[in-house]
Amino acid sequence: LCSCYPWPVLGLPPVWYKSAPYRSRAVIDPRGVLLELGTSLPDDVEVRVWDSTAEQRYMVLPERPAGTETLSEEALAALVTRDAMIGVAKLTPPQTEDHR
Amino acid sequence: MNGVHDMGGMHGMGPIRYVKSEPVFHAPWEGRVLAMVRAVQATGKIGGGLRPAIENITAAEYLRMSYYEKWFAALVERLVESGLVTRDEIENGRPAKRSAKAVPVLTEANAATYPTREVSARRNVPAAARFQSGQRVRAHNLHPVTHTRFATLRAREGGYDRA
Repeated sequence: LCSCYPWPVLGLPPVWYKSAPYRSRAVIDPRGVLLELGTSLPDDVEVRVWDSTAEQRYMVLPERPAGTETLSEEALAALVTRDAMIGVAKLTPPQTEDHR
Repeated sequence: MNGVHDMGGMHGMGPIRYVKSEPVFHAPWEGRVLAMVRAVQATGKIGGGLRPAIENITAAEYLRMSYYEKWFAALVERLVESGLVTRDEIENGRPAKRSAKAVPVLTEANAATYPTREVSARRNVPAAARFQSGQRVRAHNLHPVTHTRFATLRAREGGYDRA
């Protein structure tokens, strides 16, 4: 729970990731932290905290959004966000024409 | 060390200030500090990096300073400790008379690939695993005076995964 972050993959971390509020609370109140960042998870979803260190990084594979079964690898990759890779956000399905 | 930097599990740090699309640097000097740190680290003369110096920042200062302010303060300390630069040189902004001119390790030519070079943190220490995956373990309540990766685990019990 320092500011360790996979720079070569995600670039430099945002300020909130390196800040005291996130670092202090992520480990004791992960569900509350996610909610504060705009991600509300149902109670039956288990939350696990992976603590990166200077020596060890964790790669969190974002959950595939519904309705993306026919998407190509490139189209799927385009949906992936930094926050989903950090593990604090879910991916949103692609906008279909009906939603435009 | 039982320092404020091991803040995992603390209360009272306030709300998370999430910014939707943040600039990489909030001021040009932040980028310069990052570049200076990288250039100095490339010399291999500040073993342990900035971490020891950052952890030695007093608690009130640590909480007050921004991320790159801490980096800069720690860089100055490590530069002086390592003998690369004297405190007088930092304060004057000029090299001491007759000081040797160092050859930069990080150059314009290798700067782009330097951050993504492969560096292994693996240490070949002969040691047998004391626990098996799935075993219940309880962490010692250790408070060493130097750095520890143990802080958040102290005196806690859990399932052992792997080390």
